[in-house]
Amino acid sequence: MRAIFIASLSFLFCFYSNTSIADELVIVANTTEQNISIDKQQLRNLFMGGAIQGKYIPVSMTPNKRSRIVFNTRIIGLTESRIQSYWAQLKFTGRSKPPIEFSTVEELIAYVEKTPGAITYLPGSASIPDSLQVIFSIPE
Amino acid sequence: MPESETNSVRYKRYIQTFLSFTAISLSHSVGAGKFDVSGFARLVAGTLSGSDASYFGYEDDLSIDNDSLFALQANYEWNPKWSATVQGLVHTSDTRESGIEWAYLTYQPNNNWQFKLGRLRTPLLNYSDVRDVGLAFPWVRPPQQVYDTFLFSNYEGISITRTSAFDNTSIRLEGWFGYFDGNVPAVDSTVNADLNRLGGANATVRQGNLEFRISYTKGSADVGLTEINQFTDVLRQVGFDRNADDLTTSDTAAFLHGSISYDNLRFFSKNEFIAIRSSEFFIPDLNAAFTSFGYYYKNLTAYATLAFIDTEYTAPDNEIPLGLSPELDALSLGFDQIVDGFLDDDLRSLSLGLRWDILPTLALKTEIIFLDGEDNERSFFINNTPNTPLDNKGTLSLIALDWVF
Repeated sequence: MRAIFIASLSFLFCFYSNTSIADELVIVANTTEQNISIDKQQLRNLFMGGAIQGKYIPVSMTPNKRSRIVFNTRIIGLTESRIQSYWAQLKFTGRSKPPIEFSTVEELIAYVEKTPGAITYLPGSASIPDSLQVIFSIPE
Repeated sequence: MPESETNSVRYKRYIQTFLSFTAISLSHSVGAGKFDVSGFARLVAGTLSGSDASYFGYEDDLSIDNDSLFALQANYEWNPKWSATVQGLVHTSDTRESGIEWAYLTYQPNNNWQFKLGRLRTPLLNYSDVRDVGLAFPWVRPPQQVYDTFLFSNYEGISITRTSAFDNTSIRLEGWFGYFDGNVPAVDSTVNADLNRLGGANATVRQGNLEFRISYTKGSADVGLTEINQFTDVLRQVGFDRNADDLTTSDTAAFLHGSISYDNLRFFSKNEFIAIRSSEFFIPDLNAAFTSFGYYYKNLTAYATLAFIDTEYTAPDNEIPLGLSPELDALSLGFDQIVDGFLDDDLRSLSLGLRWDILPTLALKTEIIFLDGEDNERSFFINNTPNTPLDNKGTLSLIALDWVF
């Protein structure tokens, strides 16, 4: 009986959820290279510890910040819990480390400005310093 | 020592390790290098209902000392190319050894190549190198039919990895070789295994949200069971070398693994299969697989898993004649008893579970596993009342708290 109750409870949570979030996001980099071209898939690989890492340094917001949720939804295509699981695996097997994280946009911009090669995402409302190059933006 | 006392000593050690960790700083610079400490912990409670048996240590009373564990990992990075890693693990299970799980040097000349040397985790399955890091997978226990059948969790040797990316596809190739000499948990005992000339290769291809992985491992196994070694000494003394060899000879086993996984914002699908082919009597031929489907809703993941395993021991022919003398009859009977003592593990299961990500680094999980093992076999169940036959059915209810730091 207890088993059936727990099983029913598990399935109660299996209902539809709408996870799309339509905020604008701007991808910026600290680079002197002109007209660099990075597409969404390469950006995903970069932020998931893929082989493109090295040329650029991914920099992220801490979990549960609005811009990170938008980035997870529209670029990475995975939930925060799945991303945490993924990094737990890569970190404890010594394969790769997650991007450095900041809890405010100001701290994030300050770090990217002083770190050549750093690449990050900013909310559309953020004022972007002239020293950073806009790679592309994801419209609302 | 009474069991309760053993447990209390174990829990005390567990808590002391935890407290000593909280007193140290997590990350700081030492000389030119960078030192950091991270870790993970699992608290898993469970109970088996509908059976008088024991299943991976779980019985009809609530227990927390089968899968609970605590680990610390220290990493020292001299520079971006060279680093050293040590992982120490305290496990509450009697069948798992606590101690140094990993100790290796890493050389990473660039982002495409990685070389590791030392004591490493075996990369047999998708999650076998993070089998103890509960946050890395959705389940409380990764499906036992696939994850509890490999013999050893680490090896001493070298691993070479090449990672590359093309357009929207990333490829990871790994080759490794080494040896393992130590105790491995069997279903109802711990055996000493010496696996030499051990090696394998695996390839992981990820395209968008779809991931494929295959791995092949081959090794020569020398498995030792003290009681059997004494028996084979007697067999040799009276000239039955072939039957003695059947029970002791070191031989090869091959292990094949394949998986397909898909993840997106709404759901996941994880599917893995393994096949083992062995010419060693102690290692059965087996096929096992699972399919798991999960649905994400906010911080919750609900999932269902179907799994099965079929094993088969290849019994050697008994060359000891019957009816010539009482001593030979006893020997022949003894041989049959040993061979018949290796019972197959055939088990199907359905599990339903829920994971709640309370924090990015902390998850609470609950899982209920309906177990349906074959009658008259072992099917991973250990009979605590040998004179009463078991039907090898039961329901395992689990709850777990998984943490990484």
